[in-house]
Amino acid sequence: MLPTTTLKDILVLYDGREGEARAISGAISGAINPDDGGAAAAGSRSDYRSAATASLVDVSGIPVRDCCGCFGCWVRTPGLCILTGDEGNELCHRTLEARAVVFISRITWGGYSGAIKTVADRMLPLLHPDFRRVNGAMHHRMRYSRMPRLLTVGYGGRTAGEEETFLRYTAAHRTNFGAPDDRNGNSTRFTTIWRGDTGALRRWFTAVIAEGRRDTTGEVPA
Amino acid sequence: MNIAVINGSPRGESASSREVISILERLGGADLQWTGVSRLDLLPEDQLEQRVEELCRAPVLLVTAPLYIDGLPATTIRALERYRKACLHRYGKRDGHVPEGGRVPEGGHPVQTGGQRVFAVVNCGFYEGSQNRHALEMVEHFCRESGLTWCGGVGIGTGEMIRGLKEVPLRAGVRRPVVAALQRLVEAIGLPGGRLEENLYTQHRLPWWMYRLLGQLGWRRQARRNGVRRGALHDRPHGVV
Repeated sequence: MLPTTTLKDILVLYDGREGEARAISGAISGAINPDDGGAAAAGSRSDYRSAATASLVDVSGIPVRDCCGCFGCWVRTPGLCILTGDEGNELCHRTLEARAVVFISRITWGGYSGAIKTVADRMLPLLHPDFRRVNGAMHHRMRYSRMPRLLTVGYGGRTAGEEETFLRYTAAHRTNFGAPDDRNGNSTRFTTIWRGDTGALRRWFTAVIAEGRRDTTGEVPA
Repeated sequence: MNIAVINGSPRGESASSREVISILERLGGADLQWTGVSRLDLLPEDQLEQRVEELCRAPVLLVTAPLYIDGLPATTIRALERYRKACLHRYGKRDGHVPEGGRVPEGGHPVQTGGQRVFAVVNCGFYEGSQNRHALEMVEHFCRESGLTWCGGVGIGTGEMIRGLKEVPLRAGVRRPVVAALQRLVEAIGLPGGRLEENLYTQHRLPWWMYRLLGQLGWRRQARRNGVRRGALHDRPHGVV
């Protein structure tokens, strides 16, 4: 495991075409860098938070193509997507460098929007093709021994049922992604639903980011 | 009866999701006619309207997709968004209701009951068919939002074997649970107003450990064919984290 000082920051992925997504990413950025991003978040600042920076990536403004399902990232160029000339591999790199990745997405039928899902799909190279069992279910092995936390903010859900699916779905995403927080269950506390309340969002973010840090995926390098 | 099919897989015609449709065609016999489209997300705008018009006209819509990162692939989300938008455009109404048989009353006012019946089949490369549950729920929410009638779906685990067993007879033991679930789906589709009482989750008949073993051997075989050196399957190109 690398010392935490080499870990850079928090990667925030959002669709900049949507006002809610811009508001949420701004609020999170403000919670991390109170000096640059508006009012300071309540509560004490941990050493980590004071050193952190947020890297905001508007996924609508960068070229990322859809995963074509070829498994080339496993059996042709292991660990790298074969689609080049876009930001897919760079996003994987930035994800590994980050301490936490925040997916901000319009809740679309209980899942991510197309634009955000494109990015999630392109993170397949971070996983290993081999299988392991997590809580009795088959998942992929981890390629890397450390993965960032995966936090999710959903907005725009139209029904309670959709939001309920979103909470469970994003928990499953965390398990599959090997996010260290959620290896042992289907915790939904790392997902929140935005209802326009900046203070509530910052309190949630501060709380989840300050929780005990378990950084490794438990995988032993092959 | 006409069945409209949206194959949501990014792999289009070579996908397991396409093979599922072939199996359903065989099980359905001559009574069911299947009209499919692959990669609806990529269809040029000028062809979209006509294609969606054809799909809307069928009393039943079947959505097939693979499981990507625990949910519907981005391509399927986009395809369904296009379908929904085109339906709205066609009927000019907010809820996009498509009546059974696709006939719209005078003035284009959609009827409030009997929207197109929608079924879905999602397959995943994991063992457990139940891992497709969130993706099926997403299709269900899509239906609710689009004024279509959700009628249930099938989640298939061990999805890599769907194409692998293509040449094996449908009645073979290893295929039986999957074929039985698809048979129930076909029966529900063929029955006027038919639906599945609940989603069906299934996988091919072989033990967990054997599927894992075959899968992992398969990855190595493919890697070798691609000239990937031994052990490179574990590469960490982004560094040693």
